[in-house]
Amino acid sequence: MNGDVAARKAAAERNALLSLAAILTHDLSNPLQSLTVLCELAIEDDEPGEGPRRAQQSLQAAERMRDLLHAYSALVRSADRPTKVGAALERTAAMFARRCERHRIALATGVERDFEGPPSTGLGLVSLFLAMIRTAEAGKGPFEARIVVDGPTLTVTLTDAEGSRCAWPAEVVESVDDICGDEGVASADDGTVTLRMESPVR
Amino acid sequence: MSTTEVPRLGNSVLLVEDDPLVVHALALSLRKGGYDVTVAGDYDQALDRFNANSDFDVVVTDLLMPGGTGLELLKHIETKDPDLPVVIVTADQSVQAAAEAVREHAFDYLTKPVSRNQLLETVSRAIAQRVESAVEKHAQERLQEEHRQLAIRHQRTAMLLSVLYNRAVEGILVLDEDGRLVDASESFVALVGEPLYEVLDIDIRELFEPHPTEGDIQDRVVALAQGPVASGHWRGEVTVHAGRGRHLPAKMSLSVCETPAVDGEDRTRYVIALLYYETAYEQLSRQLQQADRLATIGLLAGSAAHEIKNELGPLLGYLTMIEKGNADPVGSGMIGIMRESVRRVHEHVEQILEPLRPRVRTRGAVVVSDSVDGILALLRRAGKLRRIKLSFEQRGDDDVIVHADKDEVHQIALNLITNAIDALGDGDGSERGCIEIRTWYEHDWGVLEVCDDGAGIEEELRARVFEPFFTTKGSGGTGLGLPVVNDIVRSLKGRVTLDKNGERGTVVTVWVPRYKPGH
Repeated sequence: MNGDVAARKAAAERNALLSLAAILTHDLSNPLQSLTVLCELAIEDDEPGEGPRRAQQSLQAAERMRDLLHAYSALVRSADRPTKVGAALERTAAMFARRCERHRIALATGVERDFEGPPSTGLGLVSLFLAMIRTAEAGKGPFEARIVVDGPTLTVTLTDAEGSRCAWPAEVVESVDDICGDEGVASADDGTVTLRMESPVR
Repeated sequence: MSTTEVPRLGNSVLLVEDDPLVVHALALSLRKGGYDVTVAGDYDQALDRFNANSDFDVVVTDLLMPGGTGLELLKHIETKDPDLPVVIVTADQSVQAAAEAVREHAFDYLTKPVSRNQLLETVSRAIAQRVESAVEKHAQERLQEEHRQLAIRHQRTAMLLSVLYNRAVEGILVLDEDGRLVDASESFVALVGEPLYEVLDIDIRELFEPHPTEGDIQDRVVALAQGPVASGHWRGEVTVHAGRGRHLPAKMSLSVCETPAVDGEDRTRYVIALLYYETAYEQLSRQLQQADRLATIGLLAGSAAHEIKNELGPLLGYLTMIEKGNADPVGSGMIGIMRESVRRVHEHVEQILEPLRPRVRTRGAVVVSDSVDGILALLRRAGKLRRIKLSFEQRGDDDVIVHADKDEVHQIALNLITNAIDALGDGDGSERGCIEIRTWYEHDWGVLEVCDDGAGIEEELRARVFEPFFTTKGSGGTGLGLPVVNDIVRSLKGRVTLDKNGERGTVVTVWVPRYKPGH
């Protein structure tokens, strides 16, 4: 299999996954709609006691599902179009919040100057978070991840419990290179990954 | 909804959703919120439900469903009932879908899962807006209907006014604040014998004679226009310059009206003149003069009867003597005396009959002083000048000769002098007062002026003494003297004025065209 064929196959697989994700998020919304409203009605109808409390917990679960669903949906939608980096970062952080918590990654995000990144921004940020999780899984946690957007520059700094910088594995840097687009660059330097994104308008 | 019915808040919801789970949840939620819910499971069912029932207050629809999309349903509803709000509840969070829904006038675009409160609040807001727009539409329709009714009334009024304006026998004139003609009715245009465009914007002094006591009508118009609107009315007599050199007396009423300020334009004042004239005036004038001559005959008959009686006394005596044979009628000269008496009786009778004889009016040179002298002699014989200090002065070396008919001048002078005599009263047996008669030339006019120092005429009555049959003399006056003078002077294209004579009394001045050989 030559390089072009492999690239085409990878693109087709990527598109199929994105389409599947779109259908899933869409089809999940209907049962979730039903669940949300029925929970609300149950809270309203039930006599005081265990019933309403359970209905309230069910509603909270439904609402979390709704937030995840919306975040996934937004991620899928943004896969093929330029995206504001700050908004995408907040969305992705919310999507991975529970996962980060589980791996004891303390997230701190900031947007100095927002920037409209290339179409790869959304999935690139997902790759970044997955890389952080892999880093944590490799025994480097707990640590704090500080992610700051300042125009086209996105800086990710990992700091351990003692306040020292955590080193980024080279393959992690490579895996998040997607976020920069074709013209962007990623560099790692003593626990800090700096990504300089290309502009979507060329 | 009928145009007269005031819209009310409704509660009928058409819910379009293909997923039974969602239908159940949303319908339950809406019904518990007090709404009457009709469910459609796909596009075709939604169309059927909508087409069968036009009383839905709001439509809540999914975007994707079998048979068509929520946007297609929205477009269909837009063509049938553009005010019916459509709320789209969809799992599609894309900006494009939302933008398209807004473009197609969806009331709102909600993303699933939507909370119950959000759904109820949105539906409630949609219905409130529908009622609001229906109320607005209702008010608009009512306003349009009122406007239509007003337009019809305005059109009818305009037609009636047009008929009144242009078909009225009375003349109607619209004058600006400077007394210039802005518009005139057909009746007035026909009277002056000029096309409307010829008389528009002209000074009305060109259309009316100055009034004998009130002066120029234009001054009156300007004074009215500058005064308060509430008191801006005047009524009086005017003389119109009718076509073909005619002068037509008319009654005029003037009223000030003010147009409201519109679109930044200032208020504009107009003076509306209503003019009543008698087109058969010439005939009336002749009748008036005839009536005045009859009044003169009364005066002459009184004088002549006295003279005839004086003549008849000696005649009867002579006849008795002849009958008894006591005298020689020829030798004693009785026949000659009797003949002279009979001649004088005949002369007196002729004087009475003269004014009654039909005659052709012939205008030419008339010496004013001859007429005045003749009248004074007549009045003296009739004893009318007793205890009156009378003077007659002709200024200048030449006789004042005017272009008129002899009878016309006679009538003018007689009426003015008898009026002056009447104004003096009887003086309670002592001196009655003074009458001064003057005549002179003034440019192209021969002027005759008669002054008395009698009781005078009150100012408010002065304008009315030129109206026929108006008299200040009680039962002793005919009310024809000055109107006849005015008529004759008008017909001669002259002018007459009446004013106070100093502290008391009256002065009447008549201007008649000076006679020019070859006139």
